[in-house]
Amino acid sequence: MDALSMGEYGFFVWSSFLISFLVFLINYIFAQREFTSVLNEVKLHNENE
Amino acid sequence: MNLKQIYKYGSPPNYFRLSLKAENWFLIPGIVLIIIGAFGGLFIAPPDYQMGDAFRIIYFHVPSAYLSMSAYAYMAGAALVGIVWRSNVAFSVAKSIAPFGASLTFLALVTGMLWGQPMWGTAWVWDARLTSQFILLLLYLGYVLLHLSIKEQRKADLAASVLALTGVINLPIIHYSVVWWNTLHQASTISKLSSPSITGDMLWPLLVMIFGYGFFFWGVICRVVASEILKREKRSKWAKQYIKELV
Repeated sequence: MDALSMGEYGFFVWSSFLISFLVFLINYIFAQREFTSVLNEVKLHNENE
Repeated sequence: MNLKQIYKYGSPPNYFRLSLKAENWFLIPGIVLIIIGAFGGLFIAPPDYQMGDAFRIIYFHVPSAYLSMSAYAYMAGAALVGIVWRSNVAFSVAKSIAPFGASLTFLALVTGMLWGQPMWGTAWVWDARLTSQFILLLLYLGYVLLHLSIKEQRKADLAASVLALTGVINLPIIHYSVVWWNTLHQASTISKLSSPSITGDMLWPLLVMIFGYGFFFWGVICRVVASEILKREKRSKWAKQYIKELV
């Protein structure tokens, strides 16, 4: 429990961890989704030709 | 590697395939290093004698600040190559770096505020380091918005690249701001690896995190670059062939 409370700074330390984790996760998810969306776009473009 | 090979890998289909291949070479080591570094920083490193456990924010703040600056240098480098050699791939790399670079700068600012609040008694001051880092965020956002606002691809690439190159002047200002001005922000922790201002048991998780952030960043950028190249080359033969191979 002591390690989790980080002295009296638990809020600041764990918020930093959480925000960093979220930013990385969001960038990863956006990169994957963008690639899928471009693939679909190109597929559609090919089908329409 | 000779110039011919560089041109070969610089062609859109080759760079596209190389990016997709390289994604996991960066992403997997990046995730492993971040897990090790975060565990080491949060649970193994001893608390600082003055800041206590609040100093552990360094393991998220410093890597994101370093990477936000180096990502900008990479973006500007790619923009320069794009302008000089009219390389669509280089423009794609520059454009792909900007959003992640902006989010890293945002991360550096927010984690800095979370560190500043308990240590300085305030989350924000307009001192040289914080202000120049904020300008970096504006430069990234300016690049993204400028690119979005111009419809013609080549003009958008050129205009955004000129902005990226102009903004390079801000990088030495950020780095030396704590030397040139009397700032509330502390001086660099590891400006020289031979004489860092923190002990080894605090330093190793920081170095692991810096490398982990870097690897993860390039892993994500590989995928974004591949998307950008495919989007720009959707009418080309190789892109159509690639889609056929997938189906």
